[in-house]
Amino acid sequence: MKNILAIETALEACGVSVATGDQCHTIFEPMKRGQTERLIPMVMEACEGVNITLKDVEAVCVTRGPGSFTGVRVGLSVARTLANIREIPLYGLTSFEALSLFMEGKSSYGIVLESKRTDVYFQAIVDGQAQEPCVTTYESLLETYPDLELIGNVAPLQFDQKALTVKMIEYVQSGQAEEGQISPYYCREADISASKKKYRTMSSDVLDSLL
Amino acid sequence: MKIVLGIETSCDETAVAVVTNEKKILSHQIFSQINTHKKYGGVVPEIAARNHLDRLDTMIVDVMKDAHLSYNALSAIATTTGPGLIGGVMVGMMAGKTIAATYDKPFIAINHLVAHVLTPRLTENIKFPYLALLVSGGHTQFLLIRDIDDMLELGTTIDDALGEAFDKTAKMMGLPYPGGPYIEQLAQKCRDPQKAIDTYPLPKPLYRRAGCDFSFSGLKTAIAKQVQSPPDGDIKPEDAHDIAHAFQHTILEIIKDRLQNAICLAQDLSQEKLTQMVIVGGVSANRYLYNGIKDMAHTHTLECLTPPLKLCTDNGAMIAWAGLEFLHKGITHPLSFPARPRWPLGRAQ
Repeated sequence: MKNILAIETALEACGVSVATGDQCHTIFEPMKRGQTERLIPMVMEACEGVNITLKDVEAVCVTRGPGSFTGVRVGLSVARTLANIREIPLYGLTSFEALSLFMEGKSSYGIVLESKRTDVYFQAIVDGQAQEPCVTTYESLLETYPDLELIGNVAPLQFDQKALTVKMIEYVQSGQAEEGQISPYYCREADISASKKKYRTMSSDVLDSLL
Repeated sequence: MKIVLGIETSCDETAVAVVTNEKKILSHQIFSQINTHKKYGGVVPEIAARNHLDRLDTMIVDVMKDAHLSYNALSAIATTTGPGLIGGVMVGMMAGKTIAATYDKPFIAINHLVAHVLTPRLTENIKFPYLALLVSGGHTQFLLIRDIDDMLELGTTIDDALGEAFDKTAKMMGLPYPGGPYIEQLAQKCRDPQKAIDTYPLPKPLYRRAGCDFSFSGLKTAIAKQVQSPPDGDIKPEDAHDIAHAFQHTILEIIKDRLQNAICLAQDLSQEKLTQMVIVGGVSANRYLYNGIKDMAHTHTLECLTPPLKLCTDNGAMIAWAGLEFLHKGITHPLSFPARPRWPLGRAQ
């Protein structure tokens, strides 16, 4: 069995698990910010916990969002850099896919995640079919899915967040995970407020004539 | 031989380089995001951070391959950890920490401003202490450089950075972003410089005042009045050439005035006699300003130097070089080092 590292920093926490054949060491700290300071020391500590070094890691699994934009990037920057420099497989799960690992055996449920705004990130799984994830309000999703069981960090059914990276490791070990260059999944475009000021504009012909 | 990998992601350039203590740049790459940000008329922090993440990991691998180096051959990894756009800084810093942790190498957290002002030591023969003028899109500062870890801010802008003032002036004239570099080209076409200055009188904030701080926002307002009052439509060529010259001329007058005070202040605070000054940052590409500043430095018997332009704008080699300087002094940082969006250097009292 491979040495696997799992990292989760998208959901307002810093979670790391490192597994070797027979052992798994998990470190978890809830935090809104500070992952840039804690993540690497935690990864190294988790490796020590199973008597390996970071160099011995043979596969990396990471959540790729949605969640905190910064958290998503912190986890992905570490996971992608490690996978690229060591030429080892990289596995990515959306935050929805990661939380689905807690719902095994259930065919209909919804995942609701904190967006740090007035809305939430949401994905419904109906009769085993994952619907398109979206950004919506809690009220509106309750209207559309009044009877759906909801799990997430802003849902009635909370989950054991500390166990998330352990679930991710088991997922990779099960062989179901697909390897690849993993992109972030922000679920939302960057906010850009264009300046309201009006400026002249100049065509390239006019510019050329000036220069 | 010492070899350091440098990573820079604090604004809109994703940059990686490998440099040796023998002042050799083994490999370097820069990807400018300028085309992405152009349509917004300025750098959008969230978009910049996303773009850094998309490119950085493969750029690191490419640079190491290009330098024919294994990661084990590195002596340390240096990354910009501030000041700058924090989302991007974090992407670069985490990549750097990962490499350092994986190969058990020292991690060196570099202040972006420190890297800029140390760059001339990579390309020229410069000894401490020296005076530095950092002029870029984000910074405008006089610094007394007494050692790599002993720098004093003598003066800074109290509002816009100089590069920002250039870009905003260009924007008001209708020039494409980033328009700063066009100003110099337009000013060269000015037929009657004296007439231009008389036609477009511009204020010189803080001129002849004590100290060596800068202020450019009043200048911007004055330009806005000049260029936005005429009727809509393209600016007339003659007006464009004259405004560009008047603006550039006023800027040089301000810098020369501030430079005199900066030199006096630097001499007072320096134990040894100052013999050199450097100009760093993207605005040093402006030859009109550079030559004007150099002439003034010479009248104060200061040799004035600037690195080649590719090392004046944001780049990875300057981070790697700063890393080498710190490593040489035995300064490294823990992997828990935080990203610092604001990270001012010590201010001279």
